[in-house]
Amino acid sequence: MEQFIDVSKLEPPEPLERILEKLEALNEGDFLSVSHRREPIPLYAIIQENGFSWRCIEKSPAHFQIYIWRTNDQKAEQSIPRSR
Amino acid sequence: MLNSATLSLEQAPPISVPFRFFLTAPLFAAFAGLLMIYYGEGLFVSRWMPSTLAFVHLLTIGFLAMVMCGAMMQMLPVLAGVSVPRALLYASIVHLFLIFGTLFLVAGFIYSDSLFFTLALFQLGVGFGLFILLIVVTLLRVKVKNNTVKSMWLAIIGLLIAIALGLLLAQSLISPFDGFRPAMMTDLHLSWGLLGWIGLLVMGVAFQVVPMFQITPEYPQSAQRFLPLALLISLAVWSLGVVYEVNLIQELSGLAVIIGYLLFALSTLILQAQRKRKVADITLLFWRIGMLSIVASAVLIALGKLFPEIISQSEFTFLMGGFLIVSFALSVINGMLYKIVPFLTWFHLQQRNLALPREKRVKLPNMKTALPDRVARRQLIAHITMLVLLFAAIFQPQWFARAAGVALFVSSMMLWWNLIVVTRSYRAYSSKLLRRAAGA
Repeated sequence: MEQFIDVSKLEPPEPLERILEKLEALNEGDFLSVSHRREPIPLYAIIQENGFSWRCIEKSPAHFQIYIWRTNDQKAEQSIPRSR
Repeated sequence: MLNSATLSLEQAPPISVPFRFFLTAPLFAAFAGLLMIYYGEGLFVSRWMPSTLAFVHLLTIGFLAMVMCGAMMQMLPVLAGVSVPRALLYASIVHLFLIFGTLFLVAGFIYSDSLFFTLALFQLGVGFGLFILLIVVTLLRVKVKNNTVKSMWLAIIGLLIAIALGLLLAQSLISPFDGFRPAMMTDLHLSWGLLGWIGLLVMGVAFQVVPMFQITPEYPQSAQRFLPLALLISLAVWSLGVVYEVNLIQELSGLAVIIGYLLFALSTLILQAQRKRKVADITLLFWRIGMLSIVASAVLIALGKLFPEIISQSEFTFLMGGFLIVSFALSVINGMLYKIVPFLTWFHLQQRNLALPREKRVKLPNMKTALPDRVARRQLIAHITMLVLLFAAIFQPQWFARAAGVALFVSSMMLWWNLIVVTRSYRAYSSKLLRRAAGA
């Protein structure tokens, strides 16, 4: 199931903080869909160390959609929308 | 993408690398304030007064270059995904040499002593030389060639030229050599320092930081790609025009430099007006002052073209210096510190917190609580007071010069204290994390 968060109007490091909070509470089979205005490079390193994987889709130069799931959670991974 | 992403965290240098520069810089600005209190109207007699040159270098090297060096050593690894080799060791050397080099230079001006100039020449030569070398070696290893990285290349070229000219000028004060034109060299030196180094670096940083922290739209891609390079080339052509005394070349390339910086200032102001979040922001206000100062200096140059008789007056030169060094560069850097220092604090704590097992993690403070806006706002008010008094002092030095010095001292010490407060909160959480890691 999709959990959604829009961080596009938040100032750093709030997007990172909110995303990490959401990920803490992520259930088995769920993935997090993040709407952001830029690609959150520092986030990737943090979530990777904590056992998450991600896919980023650039919808427009100021709109990135990032999907995050637990690396070993195949059910969550399969339910993620494919990139265009 | 994945590689650069994983690198960006691991490659960040220890927090003490940038912080040693950030916490030293405001003290030099405060020192400049003391110098202004001591010399009063004497600082405003002519731009060639030794005490005036001492004052200016306390601001340009002691404050501006000091912060820029720290910021570059920190930002480059995070933005570009490479680490500065042996960051801690080299940062300590660069930092110490810049401190002593600046102090010796100031002493050299004040006491007109060639021994002090010799020491300054050595210290600043080694300090800046090592810094430039480090950044060049790091830039050569960068895998992601984004627009900020390109601007850093150009800014480091600007710094190299500014420093080389500065060292030559210092050498000419120790032992004058034949055919040396100090006035011309000084103009080239300050143009490269302000418009080649500081200006281009601010621009490169702005391309990243303004959209990111001030939540504005992105700068136009074409501006990001071509503006810094166009400016550097124009500056180089202008310099050749100055050296070979070709008036037409000087006029045209000078105009190109002014238009380039005007475009940057105006596009920044327009982007800031389109902010998605309407909450007042201290850094934004500092940046607005800075960008308006670029516009003001362009207006001043236009006035100088219309009424050529004003150019030779000392007020004209002091206004230009005031706009570019103090109300542009000082404001922008001051404002930037309020974003990067709390952010780096949070970033480093967060990194260490996440390295702990989940049950040992600490709830970290929100970035805003480390330095509340109202505290930074008080310093902004002191800074604006300083600017008003400084510009008043250009026209009535006997009335306002000392008051401007007091305001500069107070504003700089307030900035320093605010940064100390953030550092203390870092220390408090840092030791908490250490205790957790040790098993408490």
